[in-house]
Amino acid sequence: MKRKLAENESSDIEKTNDAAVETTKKNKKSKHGDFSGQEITRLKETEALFHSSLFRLQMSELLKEVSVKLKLQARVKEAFEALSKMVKGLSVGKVHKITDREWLQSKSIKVPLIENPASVKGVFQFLPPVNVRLSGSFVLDTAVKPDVVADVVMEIPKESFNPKDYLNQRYTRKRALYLAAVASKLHKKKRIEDLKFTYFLGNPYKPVLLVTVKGSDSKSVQLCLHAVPETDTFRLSRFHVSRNNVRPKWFLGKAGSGAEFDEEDDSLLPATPFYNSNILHDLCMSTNDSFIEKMLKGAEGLSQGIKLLKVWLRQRELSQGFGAFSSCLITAYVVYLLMTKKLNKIMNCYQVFRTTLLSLSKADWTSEAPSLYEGKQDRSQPAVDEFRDVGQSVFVDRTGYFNIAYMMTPTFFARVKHEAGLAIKALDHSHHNCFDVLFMTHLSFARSFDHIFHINLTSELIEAASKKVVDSSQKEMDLGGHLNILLSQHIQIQLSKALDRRICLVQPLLSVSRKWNISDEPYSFNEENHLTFGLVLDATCAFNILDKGPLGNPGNPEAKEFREFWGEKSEPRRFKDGTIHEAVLWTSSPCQSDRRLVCKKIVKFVLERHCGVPRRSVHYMAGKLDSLLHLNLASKNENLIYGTGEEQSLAVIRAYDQVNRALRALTSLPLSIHSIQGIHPVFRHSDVFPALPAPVGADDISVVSGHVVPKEGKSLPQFVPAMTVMCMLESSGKWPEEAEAIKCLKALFHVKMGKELHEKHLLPVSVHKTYVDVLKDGFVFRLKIANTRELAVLRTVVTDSGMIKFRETEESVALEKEIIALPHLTSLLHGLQQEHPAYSATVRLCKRWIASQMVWSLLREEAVELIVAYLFIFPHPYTAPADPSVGLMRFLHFFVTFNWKANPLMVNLNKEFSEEDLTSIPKDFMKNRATLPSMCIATPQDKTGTKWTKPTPSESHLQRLILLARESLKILESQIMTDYLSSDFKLIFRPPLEHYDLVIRLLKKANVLAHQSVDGPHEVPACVEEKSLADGQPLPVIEFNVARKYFHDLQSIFGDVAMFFHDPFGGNVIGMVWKAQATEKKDFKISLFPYRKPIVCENEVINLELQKESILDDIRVLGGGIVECIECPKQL
Amino acid sequence: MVSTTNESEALVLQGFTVLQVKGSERSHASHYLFLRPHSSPFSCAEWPEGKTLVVYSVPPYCREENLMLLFKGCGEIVQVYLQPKPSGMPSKKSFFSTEESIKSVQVAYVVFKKPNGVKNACSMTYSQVRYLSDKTVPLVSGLRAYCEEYKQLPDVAAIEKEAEAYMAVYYKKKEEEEKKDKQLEGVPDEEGFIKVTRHGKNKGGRRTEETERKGHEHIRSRRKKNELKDFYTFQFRETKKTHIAELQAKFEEDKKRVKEMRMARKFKPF
Repeated sequence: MKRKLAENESSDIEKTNDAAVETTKKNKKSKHGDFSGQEITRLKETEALFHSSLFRLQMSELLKEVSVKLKLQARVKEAFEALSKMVKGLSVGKVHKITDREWLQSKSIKVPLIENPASVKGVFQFLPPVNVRLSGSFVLDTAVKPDVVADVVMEIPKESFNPKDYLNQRYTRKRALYLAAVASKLHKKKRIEDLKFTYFLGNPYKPVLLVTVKGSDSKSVQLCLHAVPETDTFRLSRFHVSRNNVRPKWFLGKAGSGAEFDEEDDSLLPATPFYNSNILHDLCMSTNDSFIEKMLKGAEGLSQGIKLLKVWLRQRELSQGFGAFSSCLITAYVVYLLMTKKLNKIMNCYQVFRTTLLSLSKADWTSEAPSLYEGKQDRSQPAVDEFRDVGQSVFVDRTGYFNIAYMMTPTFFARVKHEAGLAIKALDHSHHNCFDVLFMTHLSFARSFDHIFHINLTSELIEAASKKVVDSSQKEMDLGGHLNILLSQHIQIQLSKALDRRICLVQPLLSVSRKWNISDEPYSFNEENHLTFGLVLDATCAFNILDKGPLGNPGNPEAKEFREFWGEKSEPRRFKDGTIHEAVLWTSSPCQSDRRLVCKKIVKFVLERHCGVPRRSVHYMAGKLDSLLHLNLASKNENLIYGTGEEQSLAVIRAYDQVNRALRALTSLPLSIHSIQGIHPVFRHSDVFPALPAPVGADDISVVSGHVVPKEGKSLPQFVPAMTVMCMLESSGKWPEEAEAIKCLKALFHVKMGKELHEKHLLPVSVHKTYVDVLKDGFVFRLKIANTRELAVLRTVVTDSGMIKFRETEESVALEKEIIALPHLTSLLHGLQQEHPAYSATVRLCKRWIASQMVWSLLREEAVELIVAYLFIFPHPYTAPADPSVGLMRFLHFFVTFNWKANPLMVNLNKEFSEEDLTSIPKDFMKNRATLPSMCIATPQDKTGTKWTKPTPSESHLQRLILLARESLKILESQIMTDYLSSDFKLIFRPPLEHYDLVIRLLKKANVLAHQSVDGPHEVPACVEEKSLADGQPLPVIEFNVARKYFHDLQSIFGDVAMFFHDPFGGNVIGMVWKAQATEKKDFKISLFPYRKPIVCENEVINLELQKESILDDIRVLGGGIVECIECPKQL
Repeated sequence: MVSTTNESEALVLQGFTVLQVKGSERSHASHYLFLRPHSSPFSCAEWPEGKTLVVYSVPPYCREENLMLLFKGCGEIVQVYLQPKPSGMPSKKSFFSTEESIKSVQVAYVVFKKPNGVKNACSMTYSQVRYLSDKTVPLVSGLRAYCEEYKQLPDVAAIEKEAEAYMAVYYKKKEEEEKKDKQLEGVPDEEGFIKVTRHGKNKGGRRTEETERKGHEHIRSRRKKNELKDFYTFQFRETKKTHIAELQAKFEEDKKRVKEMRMARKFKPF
């Protein structure tokens, strides 16, 4: 084992140094002491040419992981030789009609092509290939593990084709038959383990044969067998994008609409660009292959760079499926950059990676298309705009005829460009370790897009929808009847037009190319029962409720077009500046939750109007989780719109502002108030359920000296939270030097404050020793006086020698949080909310999830807020989430993947980290890792990052959180992507109860927050009625939540022996788990007396044993009137 | 379970008498109380030695009156003190102790009028299960306790009075200290040292860790300022060398990190 480790350590980089180390050992006292010249050059090179030395090491590790090892290479070579020999040795077949299937059926092989229409002229005869060669990534050494498949190209002899076989899919059919014939012959060979068909790059015109060959060492290798014609089989100019090679007469049948076209003059016939490109692809393959091979030869940096790019693409799900940015494209693009001298052969892999992404992020593949062709533009070659007009992205190949990117739509390229831009941005954040972001994070479709929707397909729908497409029959002919592809492209175009500035990207989910057995029917795209699209929103415009069109005078052609597009939705409106514009108003509700779904309305409208997709077939996923933030208000009050609560937070803050003003105007305090800052989560927009106005004027309340008090036997009053506001006084030297005395003075301040607020501002107040409660607009604010002196006094320790030292105590830490850290955090996060309107709903949804899993007490709220803030401040590899549900998914994913052990989370609030901090924080973290808590969240105010993560979560708590997050994420993603029809999106908000030792069920009447519970259809008991808030109104019952009190009491009483779990938002159970070490036998000690009984062991030693029955008893006693029943799923 | 030889005898383990009690008749399991006479190195007036009984492991919902009920038969009780933790004297009721009491298992100090009250208590029989409540003295817990707790609203006048009283005492004490300091101003002690105080003519600065550190730093920074950088060839060489050493150190550190990541299989992208 040791030796193995040692071997592992000697990585590639070190190998170069090995020699150097030897020499240094000899002349240790050379110029630079411990290291050799070679090493120094290497270090300097790293400094100059790489991102950072860590990044360099990580990249080389990654390359080692994904590169194909020599052993495998040899195995592939050997398998290829064997296969090539077999294929070349195949005998000439009999002549069959193309439509003849009998000879294949006898071997139970199906042709791997959807044949539409079935009839076609011509004959097919199998001739052994003239040439078999290895091609693609294996030759270029750019293959990326795992699942490497080596491409093998067979050249079909020219004699197999008639000169006119390019017409009417005859070529494609013969090609498919050729593969089927090869398959039928290889079928029986001993070394062939398995034969499967699949579509190359998901293209239904292009079946390929996957051959699994057993190697000599009994391990098998997969090869992908392509069939291409010899280069000079057809003239390339025949396949110019604007020419027709599928005759309408044939495709649509004799009676079809194409009958009026002249068969011979194809220039009048509709072009078949996609079909043409397919044939060109095969024809140009060897030219392109050999060119690329020549260019990349002997440049290790380039091939490594391509590998990195491939990993990057694959993590983003960009390189697989029909119309993807395939690995052939990226390789060709690197070659293009090499041709244009943007890259050169001596560049290292990082330079290649970065330069390629940089030029991708600036590229435009429609107007300034790249081209591998170097000669003069021939007249027979299509120009760039001819390609573009077809609606493809353009990348011209070596021959100048073929568009390599012919399957890719411009919208898809926009995604690639967007991702490349994000990657460059991430690389420019030199201090964040972007390695994980670029290469190790998998961006699933669900997590990458703000809004996702599915369209359920039926054959009627497809037919109806395709009628909406211009020239649909021609395009159908071009695509060989694959209407799905046509529809998807059409939807992309319409949506990008309709959503315009609201979105950054629209992208369909690419269907993965499937494999099927050679005896099965080929896979048809029309089998798919739904299409999935994702939108990335531009948060600045996406939530506008109005689309303002052109000037609305009747003669304006633009206005006419606008009206035509939006139909009856568009109406002329007068704007503030007096002009009249055509405009579409999507919602009149000011609610954030409604505005977030404006895009949903637009999508549904456009799909119905322009794509023929009825509303009920569209399943929009955004907003599905909103119900978890919703409250069911029994609203007699029309003004109170709750939505997802953003507006309620604002209402609280408005009331707070008024209290703030009253406080500023206080005159009776001897010291003036220096700053006022709320510290309750609501002031950071992160209170899961912002307070509702307290109820007024119930008749049967009992009032004691201006306070409503709860009465036993009556139903419990509605819960009214008190929201803490810190009032920091100006500094003064007159504060006493004793903590107790300061507290007394503060109490006197509170008394004065309460008096003046009550007398001058007529606010109902309740004065306590440590705070004053004030009622304003139905909200209760808890005002607390603060001064920095108290903190200093609490920290002061005087040593024997008279030196004054400052040491943190438990009390000082708590006070510091309250008067310094929280006010600061609150104002910073309040600022973040102004920048990102989705922050509030996201953080509240995340908190809700944590609470509903009953782990609320394991992780402080502030820690959750900071993690979510991080997702907005440093959203890489995504853009900042614009919708709470995607925010929750990223939060869960972050929780699962972040390596808390090795990294501190650095939340750059307000960008206040200095350059030095960015390097010193991780360094200090590494040094002190053993003593730090399990999670470290560093902020510019708290550089060790321990403020909000001590004492919980502990390592085991963290593991539990991670486990819950992983499972929830898995469920949520599959709900959104596949089970969207039947899913109950509340599933991940229901905690499992079976692993608790004790489940305490609470009485419904004791649960004052029942209306917040996940499955509660309960209405909020009573709401504010529009009564005049009379003078002398009593204060409502404040912070009176018996369930929460009971839970806290259980924690403080039994905390040593058991852990308790509860959902503070209306949860009706408390779960309990025994602490393992508490249940063991203990020595007879005073500190261990509680809830233990003495037992005498064999040798007369007296031990203590936990008495679970009596604990159970006391839980019941303490919960009198609160607990319904206690269940023990397991034995006590 | 511990078995006693005699049914009517007390169970004494390592000096502690063990009692079985139940909260009420509805309780299923009994709770174990541990009693012993109070003894402490510090004597205090409230808890006279010999007349005070310590009871450990008192349930959290138990109040003074419940304990009175339990020990009613042992002798006349002067007072019951309930505390969250054992201590040598009654824990001082701070001005702020009434706010936010944290519930926990308690320790009770029961002061009897006569010493034999303690003796009687310590010889209570083990086998008899006793109750902490009856009809006249009920258990107050759960919802009822929470409601009662809420009803204890603060009395503003009392707060003001209490706080003012405390401050008056505090200021008086402060004044006296100051006076004493002033008197000692400039007066050398036995060894001839004069104490620098914060009053009087020669006010000394506060001697804190911070100021001490700053002083050291000041000296260091002054020394640094006067130094010439990269002036001599050897210095230049030195800086270059340290730069490379830094790079080297960082490289080594990174290598270590990468090794750790490799161990944790952090390089499998898919």
